[in-house]
Amino acid sequence: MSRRVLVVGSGPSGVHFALTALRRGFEVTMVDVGRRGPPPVFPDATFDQLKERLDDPARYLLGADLEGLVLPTREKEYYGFPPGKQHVFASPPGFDYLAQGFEPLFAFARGGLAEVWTAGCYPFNDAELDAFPFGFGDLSPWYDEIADRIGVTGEVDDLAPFMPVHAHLLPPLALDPHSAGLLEVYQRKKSRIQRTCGAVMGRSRVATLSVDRPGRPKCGYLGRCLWGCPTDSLYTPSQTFRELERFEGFRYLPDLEALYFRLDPGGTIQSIVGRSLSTGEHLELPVERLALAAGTLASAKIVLRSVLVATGEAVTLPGLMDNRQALVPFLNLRRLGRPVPETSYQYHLLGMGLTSPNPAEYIHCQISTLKTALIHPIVHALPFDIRTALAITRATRAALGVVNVNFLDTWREENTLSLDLGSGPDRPRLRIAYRPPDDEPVRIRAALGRLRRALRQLGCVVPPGMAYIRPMGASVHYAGILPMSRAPGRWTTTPEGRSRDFPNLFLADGSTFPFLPAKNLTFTLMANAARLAAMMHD
Amino acid sequence: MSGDRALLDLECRTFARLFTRTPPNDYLLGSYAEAHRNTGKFDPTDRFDPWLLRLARSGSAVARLGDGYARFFAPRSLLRRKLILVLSLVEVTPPYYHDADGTASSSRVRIIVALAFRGLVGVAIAGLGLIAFGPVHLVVRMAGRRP
Repeated sequence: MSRRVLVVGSGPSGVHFALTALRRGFEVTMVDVGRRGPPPVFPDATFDQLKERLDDPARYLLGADLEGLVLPTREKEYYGFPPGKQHVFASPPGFDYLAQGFEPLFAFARGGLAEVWTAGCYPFNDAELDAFPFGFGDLSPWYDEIADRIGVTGEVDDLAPFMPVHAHLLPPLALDPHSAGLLEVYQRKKSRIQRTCGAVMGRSRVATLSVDRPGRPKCGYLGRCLWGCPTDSLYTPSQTFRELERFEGFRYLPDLEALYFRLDPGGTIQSIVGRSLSTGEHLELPVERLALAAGTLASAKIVLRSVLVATGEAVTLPGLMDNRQALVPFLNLRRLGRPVPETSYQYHLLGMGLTSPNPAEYIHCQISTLKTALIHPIVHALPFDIRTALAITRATRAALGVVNVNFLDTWREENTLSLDLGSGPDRPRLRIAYRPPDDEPVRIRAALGRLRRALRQLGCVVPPGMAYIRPMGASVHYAGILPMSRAPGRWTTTPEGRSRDFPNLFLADGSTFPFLPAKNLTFTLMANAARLAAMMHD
Repeated sequence: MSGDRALLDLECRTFARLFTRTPPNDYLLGSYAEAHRNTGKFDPTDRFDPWLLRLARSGSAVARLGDGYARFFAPRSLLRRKLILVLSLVEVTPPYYHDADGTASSSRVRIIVALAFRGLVGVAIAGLGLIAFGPVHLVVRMAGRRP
């Protein structure tokens, strides 16, 4: 077999799989829808300066079709989705799905879903990798490698026992006064907070530069993270994609939606069929090795459709996982009446961990203090008329923050992906069925109770009725379906990410994870994808 | 100026007065009108919607009262959606944005007293709104249920 691999998807898994393969002498062809967003504007302007300098600030910040306007719905989202990032979720024509108990998001952008991530980098520890067919020691060199590639800032602090420390950790970003105040109170009261709430606190680990690197300046604290870092200080996979383009052995085929692969009589993949989005034509590309890195849902759809085309079998794949998330707004009474800095890092700078006797059940929370942001989503969520709510928001603005709580998920039979053939066998739709575990409400209530107590110790209150449990699928931390395992079995993958059903198929994304800890998986996706590409060498 | 545009300008002027002392400039008025052209986000959803909006156009005090009522009894009403639109435009548009996204710096005690006062005002507005708009809303809803 020659050293050629075709990679589907340019998200965090795809680009780091491809980069590792290219560095090891493989020729890589990448197939991708690859939608791109507009270039950044006024890269030196702060958020307020941007409003002054743009000819049409409403169009930029709210969108031509008001995509960034958050109107009252049953869902209490506190951030509007930035119009400049709409391309990430702009689906190809004819794309459709059916979902029950799950609200999926699909990315079609160059760089994938991590083009809109908040850059949290949390290595899984041995307890969290217990269900995986390898341990932290196997993944550790790849966390080091990815940290070196993307630049991760942070500190070795009380969160370190729950987030193993990797090499190349850059100094942490500067704290805004609100975050600094919270951390200072925690340092004074931490023995009590740890004892009574089982909570620890420390600096977030984020892929945002605190020191200059070639081609990427350190964070300028412009307060524009949500609209897309204009200086690339905040890492996104499209930065690694640009690195891929420098390799002679790299070929990129954008504007192509991968549909299914074809098998030879021996069950080996011989080609992949895709649809050109510009012409609508179907193209067939020869395959020696295929690496699916399109994200759990899209990769699973390709596998399901391929089996349907090859054998007529309508397979159901169990084990879909996602992190349930809760948003818990808080008011820090110590910050009332203080000014809000005009320039700051917009995303989370602090993390809180809710510990458990079973270390795999650790719950990670990201703490974001309110700095620059559009405030109308907060204003209309308050239980007052808008003018009164605006006055209250202005008075409390420096004291507001939100905690994003992640909950773990486990591989369960009842959460499935299959194909719906209602629109005909040529137009199968992905069917997603998800049911949360029976004990979920109890676990969420217990965790939020501990969080509220910890926040109270920090001098904060959680306004009643403002906490919000996001729908399943909202975190976009999808995993499961084709799990890595030591024991052979149908619809499983080897510890090296190789499919046990198709010998030249590698699964390089979250679809192979047999467990989903309560923390963002993106850093582990990248590390695992690089690990798999390195093992493909053998 | 078309009749529709004149009405939209009137709404924008009336509602903007709730959030900023400076009258809306051409950009703000134009953005408000444009928002109605491009999306279906500002279509009425029931018969109460246009009635409440018509009253709210008559002045910012009435609009505030209607909003206080709608916050609890018609949270997705047309009036509220339009008020949120104006606020979102105010907060991204110079020279108004500091009126929306600025902070009120003061001592903690003063802020707490001010918050308590604001809260009472908010409750009073919701109560007055309930008296003023509740009966009509009830009648419209019951009429809507009749076969």
